[in-house]
Amino acid sequence: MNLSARNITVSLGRKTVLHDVDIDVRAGQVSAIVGPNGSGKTTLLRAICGDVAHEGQVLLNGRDVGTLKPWELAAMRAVLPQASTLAFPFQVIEIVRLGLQSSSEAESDEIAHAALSRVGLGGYGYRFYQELSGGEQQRAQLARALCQVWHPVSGGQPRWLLLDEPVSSLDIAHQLQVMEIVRDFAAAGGGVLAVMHDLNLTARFADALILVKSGRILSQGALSHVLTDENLSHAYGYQLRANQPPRDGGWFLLPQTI
Amino acid sequence: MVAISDTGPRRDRRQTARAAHFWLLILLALSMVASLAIGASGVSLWAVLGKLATAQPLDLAEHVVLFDIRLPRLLTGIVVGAALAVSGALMQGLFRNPLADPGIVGVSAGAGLGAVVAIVLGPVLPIAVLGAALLPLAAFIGAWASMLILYRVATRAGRTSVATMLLAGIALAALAGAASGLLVYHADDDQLRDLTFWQLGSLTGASWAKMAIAGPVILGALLIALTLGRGLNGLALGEAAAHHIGIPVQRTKTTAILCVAAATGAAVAISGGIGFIGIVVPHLLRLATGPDHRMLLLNSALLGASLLLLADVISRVVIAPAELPIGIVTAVLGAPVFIWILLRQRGVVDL
Repeated sequence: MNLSARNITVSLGRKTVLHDVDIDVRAGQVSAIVGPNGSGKTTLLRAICGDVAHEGQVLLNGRDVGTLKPWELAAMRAVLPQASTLAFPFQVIEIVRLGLQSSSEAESDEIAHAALSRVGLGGYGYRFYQELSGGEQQRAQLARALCQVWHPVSGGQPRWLLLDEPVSSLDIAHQLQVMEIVRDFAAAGGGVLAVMHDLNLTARFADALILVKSGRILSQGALSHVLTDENLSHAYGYQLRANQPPRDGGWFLLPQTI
Repeated sequence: MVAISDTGPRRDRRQTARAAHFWLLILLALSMVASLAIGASGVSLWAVLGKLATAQPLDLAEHVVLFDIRLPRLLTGIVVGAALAVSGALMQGLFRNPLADPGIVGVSAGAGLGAVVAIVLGPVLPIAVLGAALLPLAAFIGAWASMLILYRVATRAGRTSVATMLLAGIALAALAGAASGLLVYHADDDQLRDLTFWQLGSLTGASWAKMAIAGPVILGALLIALTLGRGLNGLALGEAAAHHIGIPVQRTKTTAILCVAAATGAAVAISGGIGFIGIVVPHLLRLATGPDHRMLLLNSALLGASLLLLADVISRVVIAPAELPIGIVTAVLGAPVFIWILLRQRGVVDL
């Protein structure tokens, strides 16, 4: 079962941000959308989530997203936005529980607390959300999304995590932790599509890549196929060379080394 | 968005919020007894109850005071208080802001304008065929139009600007006030007496006839509002995130706007513009039991009804045998709370 988008065109005002984009994403692996700032990565994800008006069709497990009710969609996929502001002083656990669809209170409490522990916020349930740091808030939101699709496969169908820069405000240890959660979700049969900024981290965790430039797909497919020097240099407009240590022997740290 | 209390509970607040249903029900019962027992006429509730218990006939004064004055007034106080408090909670959830209140941001003024139009122009226009239903209907339309204008102006792409909301509310209230003032010039003496009543805001005019029309409207709106709890919780995350977790966003918003318009419109139609109940009640409850709308809405209805009844009792005893307009009492109690909230989240509001 797949997530596929056909002929996605998005215009914001007069400017066309995405031009006739086609993508195919398989469940059971981590797929990442990468590309320079303003290339349309986030817009593509938002079109797939149904947050922006778009032409073209998005199929999730073979069903047209445009025809599904909000609660039917919510049962199939969870979304982690890039930044969330929150009105009212909710406790962290109350936010996490918002992701739960329908289940008994005892069961849902168990899942909510398990999800919080999963993102490393085990003792934080009864704190106020606004008291958390930016990175902790982002992980709390991830726990909410995880709650929503707690079982990666449901009724023989994969469920999906759609993540918009899930590690943007996290330190390196928490970046790795979150990416491992995401990889485990895919390994258990779920589908993951994430907008990513950090190419090293992406290279370590993603199975498939979609490289976007100026609202068009430059390349998509396996890592070695997409992340070539030629593609990267073209996409980012800068002469880039992968897999080379710094010429002057300078300091570096890669997530791959762990 | 919201300042956080420093001494917040470190435990699950759902139990507290559900237990509050029970305690607020008791508070409401006590307020009802106080409202029936205390009044200017010197009729004693207990003497009447004693007579009823022993099957003695009531004298005329007792009958009139209790059954034709205090009882309709009691019921009016309950439905109006509940309507205003729940409208406040709904608006705050919809605008994602604790400062939204039908009185402050011009919805009550819009309903008032509708009511004034109905009083002054009602006899002239063919709409008079609607009879007694005309007034609440006009107030509803006024409140609904205000809500729609306010939401369009203050909310862009699913985000509400607090400053725009408050300023648009002020402009809306001023405009509705000006239009009402213009109509007052064309009113005759009888209509003027009716109109003065709107400006004060009072339960004095309560009667069975008014209750029969406004009561069912408010009860219907409240019952529908109680189903919006999960939707409003989702909207607290923002419209996009609400959609992601399966909330029918547009339907929730439309239902909330219609409920506010119906409840506020009907409340204003029978009691004029009573302010601040809608802001004080949900705010106190959020501090005590948390912002979960599934419990907050019912608790708001109960506490709003109790507070308005108690404010009404105060308005009757302070300068007895005369009566203080209840709007004065709720403003004295509520305005400081409003300023307090404003100060505590000053950094975020950023006017």
